[in-house]
Amino acid sequence: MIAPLSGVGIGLRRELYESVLRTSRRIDWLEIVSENFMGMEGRPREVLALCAERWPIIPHGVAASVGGPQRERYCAELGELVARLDAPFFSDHLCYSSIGGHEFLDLLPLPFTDEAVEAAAAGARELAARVGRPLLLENITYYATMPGSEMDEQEFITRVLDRADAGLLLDVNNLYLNGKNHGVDPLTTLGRLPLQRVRQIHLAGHTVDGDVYLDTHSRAIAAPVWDLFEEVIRRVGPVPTLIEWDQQIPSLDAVLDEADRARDIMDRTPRGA
Amino acid sequence: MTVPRHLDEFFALMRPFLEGELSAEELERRLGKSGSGTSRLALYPVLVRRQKQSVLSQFYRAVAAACHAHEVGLWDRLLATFLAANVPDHWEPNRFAEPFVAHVAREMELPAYLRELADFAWIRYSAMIAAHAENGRAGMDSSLFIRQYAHEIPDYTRGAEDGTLPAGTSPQPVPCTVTVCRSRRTGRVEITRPSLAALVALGRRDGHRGASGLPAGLTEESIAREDLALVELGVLAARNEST
Repeated sequence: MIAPLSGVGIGLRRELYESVLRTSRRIDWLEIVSENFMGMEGRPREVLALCAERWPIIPHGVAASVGGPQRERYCAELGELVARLDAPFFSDHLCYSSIGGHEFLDLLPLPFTDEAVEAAAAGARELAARVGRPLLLENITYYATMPGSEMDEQEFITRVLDRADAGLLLDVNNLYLNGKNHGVDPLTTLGRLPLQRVRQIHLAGHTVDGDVYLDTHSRAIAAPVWDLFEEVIRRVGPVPTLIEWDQQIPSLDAVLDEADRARDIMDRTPRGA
Repeated sequence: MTVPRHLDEFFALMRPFLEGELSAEELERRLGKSGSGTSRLALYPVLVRRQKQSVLSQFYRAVAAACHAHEVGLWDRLLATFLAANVPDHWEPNRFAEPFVAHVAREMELPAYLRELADFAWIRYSAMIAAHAENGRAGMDSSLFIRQYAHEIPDYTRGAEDGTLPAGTSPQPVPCTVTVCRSRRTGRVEITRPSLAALVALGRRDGHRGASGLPAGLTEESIAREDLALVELGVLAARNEST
């Protein structure tokens, strides 16, 4: 039985293990970085089992590299994790992170080409089939359009998701950063994304280095991102939303304060208003 | 504009580009211009390198602190030689940190405490992810590590990680013996300073019995007490639980 997901979740990070297990504050669901738990024994596995007794848990990967061929062992370990958690879906990014066994440990943009649409869609379909659950793909922050691109990001995302029949994990911070980095209005971008496919939302903090807006997940969510989130909720309704904080992680209470704020926006923002 | 006809060609060129072996200008000459400009494209090798450095800097915070205290630029140099010799080949970023311990150990001119700090960071992670198993030793968990360091490594590490370490300090040359183990009782990684009696108790569990009797000042009762304390801490299984 796959339970529906709702409300606001937070990322379960190693720094938060013990405080998450102790907290009595409201957490609607948890998201994990899949690779930190795949094939992993010890404390990560124990904490995951304890958390799974209390909350739904969604595996969110950073290394599936859907733009390239799928790796058998990766798919097998991810499939085992997703099944163990009985997750309603799992997610990763519309990008690549690996070339021929060389892991870059980063989310790298594909060229926005017809060929990359086909490759990414095929990779996403294969990954979802091997794991056996629906896949959501996240829009990444990209700092440069790759040489050879033939279309814009929104068309690329739309076509890949259509071809793969995958859901969209809409990262509102990435939407904002791409607007700043490429000089486009994020509301215009938002209007051209396949919002009917949005199944989950990410919110995170960022930093600015010179004229580049970096997706660092190291700070509180910025005010313009909150405003954009409210607009997204107005357009797509109360989609399950996650607070991501991966570097310079503060206390659990500080993360949960952000979750409360997101929940408040979701509660008071009517769809279509 | 030259359009890459095959993604294979794109990936074949991105790999050396991302590793800093091919310039953005050369990449654009081979694949066509980026609509965002050459300087933006050139950001990617920087970000990839920064990400690898970040993995190591977070994992080995105490090593970084001790490097900064020892010599300006040492940490950056150590990272640079490591990155030049090692490529991540696993999707779990912490795996990339594993060969760093051996890398530091090979740099013979470095202070010994850097090797000890790197080792301590790695065994704490290894203890955290180890499955509980008895590893062929009666009652001794496979997550158990016992180390004798020539410097005060655990306190220095704690200070570096919680931000209380005064800037410019190095580990004190005070020998210490530590056990690192994921407790069977709490599930957390516990770090203890075993007494001599506790070390004898651990040694006995591992099948060692001193040929010349007990060290001075120890009794069978004190060793039994330490054995029990280690069981209560979750470092050892109770005798009737062990094989």
